[in-house]
Amino acid sequence: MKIIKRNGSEATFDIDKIVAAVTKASNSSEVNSLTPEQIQEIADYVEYKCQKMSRAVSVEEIQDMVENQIMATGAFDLARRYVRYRYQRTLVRKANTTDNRILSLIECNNEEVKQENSNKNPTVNSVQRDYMAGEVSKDLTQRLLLPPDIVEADKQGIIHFHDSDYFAQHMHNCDLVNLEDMLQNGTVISETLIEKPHSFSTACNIATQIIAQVASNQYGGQSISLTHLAPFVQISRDKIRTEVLEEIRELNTNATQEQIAEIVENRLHREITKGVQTIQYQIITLMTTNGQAPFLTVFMYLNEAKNEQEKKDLALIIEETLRQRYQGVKNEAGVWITPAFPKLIYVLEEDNIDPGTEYFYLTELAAKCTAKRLVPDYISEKKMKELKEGNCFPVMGCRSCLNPWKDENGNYQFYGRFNQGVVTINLVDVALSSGGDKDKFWRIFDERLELCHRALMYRHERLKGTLSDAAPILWQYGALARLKKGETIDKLLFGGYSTISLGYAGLYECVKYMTGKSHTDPEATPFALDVMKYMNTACDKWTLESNIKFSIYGSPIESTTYKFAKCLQKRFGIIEGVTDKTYITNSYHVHVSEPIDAFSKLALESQFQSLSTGGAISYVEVPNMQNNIPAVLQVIRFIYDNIMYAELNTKSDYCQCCGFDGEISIVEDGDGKLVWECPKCGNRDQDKMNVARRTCGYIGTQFWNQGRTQEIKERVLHL
Amino acid sequence: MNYGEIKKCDIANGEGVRVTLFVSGCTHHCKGCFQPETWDFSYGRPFDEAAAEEILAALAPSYINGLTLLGGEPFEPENQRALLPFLQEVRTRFPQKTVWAYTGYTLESDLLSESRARCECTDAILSLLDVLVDGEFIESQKNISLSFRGSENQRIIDVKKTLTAGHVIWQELKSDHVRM
Repeated sequence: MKIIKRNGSEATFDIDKIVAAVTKASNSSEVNSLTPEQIQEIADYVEYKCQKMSRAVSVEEIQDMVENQIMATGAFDLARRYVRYRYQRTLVRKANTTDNRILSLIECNNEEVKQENSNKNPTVNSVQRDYMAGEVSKDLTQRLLLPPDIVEADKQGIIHFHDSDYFAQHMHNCDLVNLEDMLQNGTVISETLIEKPHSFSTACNIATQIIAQVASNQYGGQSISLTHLAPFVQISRDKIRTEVLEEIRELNTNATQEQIAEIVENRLHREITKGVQTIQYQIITLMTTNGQAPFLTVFMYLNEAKNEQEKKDLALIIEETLRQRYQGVKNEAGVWITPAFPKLIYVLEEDNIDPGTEYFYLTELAAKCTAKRLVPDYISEKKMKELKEGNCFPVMGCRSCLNPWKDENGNYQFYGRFNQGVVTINLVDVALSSGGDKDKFWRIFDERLELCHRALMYRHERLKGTLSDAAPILWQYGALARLKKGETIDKLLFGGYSTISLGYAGLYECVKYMTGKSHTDPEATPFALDVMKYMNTACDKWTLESNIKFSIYGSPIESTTYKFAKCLQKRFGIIEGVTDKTYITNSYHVHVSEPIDAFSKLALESQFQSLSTGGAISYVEVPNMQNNIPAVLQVIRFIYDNIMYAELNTKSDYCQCCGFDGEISIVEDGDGKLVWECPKCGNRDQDKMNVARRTCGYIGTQFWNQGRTQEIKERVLHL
Repeated sequence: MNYGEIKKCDIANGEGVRVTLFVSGCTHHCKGCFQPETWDFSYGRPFDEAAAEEILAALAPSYINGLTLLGGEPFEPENQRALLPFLQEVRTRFPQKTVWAYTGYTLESDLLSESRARCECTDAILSLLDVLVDGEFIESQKNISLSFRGSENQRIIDVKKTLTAGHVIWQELKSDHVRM
């Protein structure tokens, strides 16, 4: 059995250490000291409880158990002395707060860090530098930048204060890059003037430079729209045409208009291929100062084009983007695999949704690409317009969504806007703290929301006063604004230009505990919706008071899902169907193990997504669908009519031994360990297979720990 | 006729999203059959009015491409007699949706010629089908990478084209036609 030590490393459970510690405390007291048998009993019981937890328990948790057991034996004086001893040890440890954690991560012993972010490899030097900075930032945040009650609430898993590893710096979360402004009006990268590009491929090159710079100056994701690259297709076309005419003149030959047009379009296609390749390969091979590839989302929205020619050119770029993603990228062994980035979003709209519409062929390609590579995800223009005052625009990075906002001329603006940061409320804890009493529930909910509100205001205050010089690419050279040097970013933090988000997690478990039913049950759905509405009301109130736009957000909690689950078990014990898993359910999602078909799930979740104004994504879990594209198209069509934003978790794995292309399954080996096995040839060598799965909305290809593998195995299919 | 199961969002047995009826009773007894319990004609529940209505209701949503008959063996004569009026009802109510059927019999030798399967309903049933996946499951020819069939010998037949042409014409699968 493993335990997790204070510095984050793993160690084997050693019962003798408990016996020794309690004996020490017991011997230092004359009154009610314990017999060796009693001490052994306490230690045995703690061992038994740890085994029952079915996860690695922390030292602090073990000490809590010891304390409780001493008290249960009736030795209160001894318990008191044990607590005092613990407290003194804590003080000693506090003297150097980060040394051990930093040293353990350099030596690759920090289990917590290893499990934290599936996109970062903590054994690599450059990633370790980011993590070291993160440890220092977390330490400063906990000791100096946040008040003790917020730190404590975060530690207890009542709330989650996201990205405290970046909080020490004046950084924001995520945004929509105003690529259009930067490309059309020029920008400055590393003090070098970059003028409007003269070709599509140069525009793509500059775009990736911009993306790299932006990613290094914030901690969240960014989105760009391919529409902003589309005008450069015509520029390239004109340029190529001039070249071709010149060549013909030089060669002293004649060519018909048709021949010329054909040569021009062929060359143009090659340039588009090259440009799109630049973006794809640069993005996944770049490493930002955050120790990972830029978290980039690429938006593909035909209707965003300014005229018919631009729309046709945009279609060419979208088509090429889909083709290249379908092909994948080669790993070091030369095998084509599913890349995690960039994330792609394809917008479903009137002229691409039905067979017979002009761009339906693109939707078919998108469906085929999704079946093989898990992306693109889908946004319904129709549903988004219903919810966003007639607008359709990208989410920022993964799912954070802006509110509609108009500039001083009354025009809606989305690009250049951003999110200030997130604090997530653990809804399950609110429910369990109320003991199931509804009145008490709303009262505690109020208190917790206020706590989140205060924590969010700390985030906001941390950004206030930030000078534009902190990140020139963002604030001075167009990615988010064109502020002067030395100017603060303050005006962008107010009036709804940017948002700040109240995240939430565990709606399913919350409702399950309060009503005894899943929120999919018509009797429980109204309560679940009330919870969502309550958070909306709170956000609206805060917005009115502060002139800062608060929005509610279905947080993609990755390692936090374990932290919350662990904290809940610690605070409330194991409650069947509520705290008996090693994870809690993200946002408003239906529980992974609940049988429901894809269409019912999307229809149900749509009501919740409408109330998650700051962003959220729904997903359906499906098998390998490469041979059933018509079924993929049915799901896509359903998304168009029913839900704003959704994705398909498809399975298209690859066995390098037999060439099998389909779903590689999880089986139990002789020792009860879960392993991946090719259903065709029985290969179990992870190095000879490629498996891609989405976890919490992110594509992972590196295989997972046993806990997560278990969760993946338990997922029910919705088709 | 009895049936074992009705799947309401099936994507494994035919193109698109389908409602699949697993009828009971099969006399092929193929080695390696994926559900031998359905060989028994009394397996599951009776296919009554309520079951028929359940399927018709499940076929209604726009995202359902059609119905698939599976088994067991839909082409055992007693099953054909129960299925024919039901299929007629499906066709009347949902003329736009497609009907697929799976059989262990072979179209030319068993369904179109005299055999233990062919009965007074067979031609009528065939005329109501869009696609027939035929042939016994042969374990030695099993291939899990095949679309909508279990072993290499089985065929996905475009029934209408085949009956018109007088020789077997394969169904064109849409997934093969979306080219990257």
